Amino acid sequence: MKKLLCISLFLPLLLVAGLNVNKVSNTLVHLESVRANEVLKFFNANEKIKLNNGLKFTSLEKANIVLFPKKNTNKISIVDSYKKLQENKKSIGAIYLKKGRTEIIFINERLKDNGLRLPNSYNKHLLSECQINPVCLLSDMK
Amino acid sequence: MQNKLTFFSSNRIYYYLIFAYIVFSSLLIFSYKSMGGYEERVKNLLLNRAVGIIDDTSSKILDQIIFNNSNFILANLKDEGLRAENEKRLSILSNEDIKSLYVLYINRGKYFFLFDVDKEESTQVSEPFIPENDRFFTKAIKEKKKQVFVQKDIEGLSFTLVKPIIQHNKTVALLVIDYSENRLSSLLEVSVDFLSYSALVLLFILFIFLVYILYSRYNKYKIYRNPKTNTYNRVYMTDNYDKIDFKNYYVALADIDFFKRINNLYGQENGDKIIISVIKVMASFLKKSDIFIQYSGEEFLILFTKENRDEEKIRELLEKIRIAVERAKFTIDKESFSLTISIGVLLHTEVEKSLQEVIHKADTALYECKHGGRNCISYFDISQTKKLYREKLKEMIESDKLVCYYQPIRDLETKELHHYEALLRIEDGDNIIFPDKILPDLEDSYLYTYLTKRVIDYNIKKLREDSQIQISINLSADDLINDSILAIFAQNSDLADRLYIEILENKSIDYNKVELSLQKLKLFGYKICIDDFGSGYSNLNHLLNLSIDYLKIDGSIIKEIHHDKKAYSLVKTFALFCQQNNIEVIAEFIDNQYVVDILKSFGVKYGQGWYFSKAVPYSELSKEHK
Repeated sequence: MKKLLCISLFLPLLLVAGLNVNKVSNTLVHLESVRANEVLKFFNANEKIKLNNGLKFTSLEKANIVLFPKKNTNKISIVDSYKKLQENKKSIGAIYLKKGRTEIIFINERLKDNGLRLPNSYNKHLLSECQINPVCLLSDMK
Repeated sequence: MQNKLTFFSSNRIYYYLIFAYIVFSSLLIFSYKSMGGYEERVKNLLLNRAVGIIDDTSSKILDQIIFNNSNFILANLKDEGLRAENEKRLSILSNEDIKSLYVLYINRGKYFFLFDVDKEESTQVSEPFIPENDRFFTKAIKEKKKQVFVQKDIEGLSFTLVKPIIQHNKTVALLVIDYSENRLSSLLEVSVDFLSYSALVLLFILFIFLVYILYSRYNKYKIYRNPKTNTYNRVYMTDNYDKIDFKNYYVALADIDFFKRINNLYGQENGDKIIISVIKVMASFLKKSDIFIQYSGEEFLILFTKENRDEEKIRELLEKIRIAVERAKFTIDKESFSLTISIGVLLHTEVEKSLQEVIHKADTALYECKHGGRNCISYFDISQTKKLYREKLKEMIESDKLVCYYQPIRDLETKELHHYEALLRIEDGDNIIFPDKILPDLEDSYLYTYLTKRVIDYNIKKLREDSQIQISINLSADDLINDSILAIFAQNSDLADRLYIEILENKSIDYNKVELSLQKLKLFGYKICIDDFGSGYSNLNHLLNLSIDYLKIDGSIIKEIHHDKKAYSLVKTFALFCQQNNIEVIAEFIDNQYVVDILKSFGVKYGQGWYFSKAVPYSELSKEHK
């Protein structure tokens, strides 16, 4: 039972630990505000993930985007699971491990609503709101 | 540094060697860089084979899944029970090498999970999936063919199989199988790494090898060159006897006249400066293809290439060199003086067999020049008849025509046999050629030493065949100081008590060197006899120093003993001297009993001559020694 507890406790950490931080940083650095001269500032709630490559970090209060929030926040956030992305409408995207790969997803409509955008080269990471809603997706498939 | 540069400029081959190394290194580095692509191709090839089995099995399962479903994706999305059933079907494919197995459907260019057999990682149906290598996914969709690719960036994965699921001739979904790192991929990586590292190690070894060659060659170059004059020295000559194609050169040996006087007057250091100056004068007349060797201190060997030079030209050139040295002014301590050189030349090198022979002939010519007054050029000339005779002689010596005849040496008192003297003969058909007809032509040639060795071998064979016979053989002073001849005696020292060595006295002897050789022979146990004593530069003091066992008085004196008072008293004196110094005396050319009686009266113990017996072949020897 102890072993199972340990595994269940550390499994999320292990998954996060396998993130490709370069890939994440390189994507986030290209995330920009549509408003001129506004520099996006991040707050990383998960200290275990060391991001770099020119990202600007600040305190939770001053940050435009909160990365990997542990609980719901009113600020724009990028969450660490697909499920959280579905549930939390304030989150603009999710970064998590899937099948050993670092998955980076952004919801197109949410980016626009928050005055954010990504260059076209990152289109493969952009999904529509409908595509993360199984019911909508099913009707789209018909 | 200058020497190093000179080394490279005179050894162009090393430029090519370095160039070849750079080209080879570049090729190797290029191959090493391409190794990644090569590695991927090899891996894909092998992996395609490895996934062949699972590909076939999956096709059957997918057929079952698709069977009777006009849109199997919609059917599975709607019906959770069907989806679970199909996931179960697919799970049959799982094995220990497969990390994940899932089916993705496609919506507006994006991929979504339909099935996921992975039990450890929960995946929602319709959860999006963004592949790292989406070009393989796109390719699988477009070409409707499975794709296998190596996963370089994903930890724990070795390769991925993407198999299109086709319905109504359209790719509607993809079966994706991620393989975990297994032995095959590890082995492949190890083998590719091994190839890469081997290439690097090979490059390193070649580099070390190249450095070693250059270093050792440069060291040799330093040994071969006089650093002050940058000319070759004698070591180069001896190391390259076989490599120099002497037939393409005219060979000259030049010597500075009376150079010892300069050394004595001004000292060796100033002498060296003069040599350098003379070399500079001489070298200014040479082509690059000529070879200039400082043969000994003030003696220079020059090999003039025959290319574009006829005999007339070389004669003119040599004369120019001689005159240039003669006219040059050399200065030591503000004192100016002139020098001359003597040059011995061999032009017809093409008929010679070895460079040693060529040098020897040039030396002979130089000797003539020195004795002809110096400051001249002397050309070695050998008449056609003499040349032909020498060629014939060479053939005869090398064939089995060489034999020894034996003449007994007896005790004059008892007439008992003491030993035989081996005398060289060449049996040319019915003609018997005597050594006095051969040796003068062979003297100072390599054939002389060869002949001596043949005679020694011949008699050693006889001594081994006949355990009773005792033989004396004749050696010249030059033979005695020849290491290869001394080695033969050392190897056969077990025969020392039956083999006597007679040293010919008719040539000037370097007593110091001969004494050293005789000491060695005496150590082996050989008995030493001075031959023809009284005919040459007989020196009684040297005779004592050489500590010989026998002294053979020259036949020309013995012949005259009974009618020439001088000969009579000379032999009497020799005999007395020998008695007092424990040297046994042998008299040769005895042709009657009267001479025997005189010799006995002087105390001469042994004798040989026609009175006792002529020299005869071994087969005709009496059996008295047996």
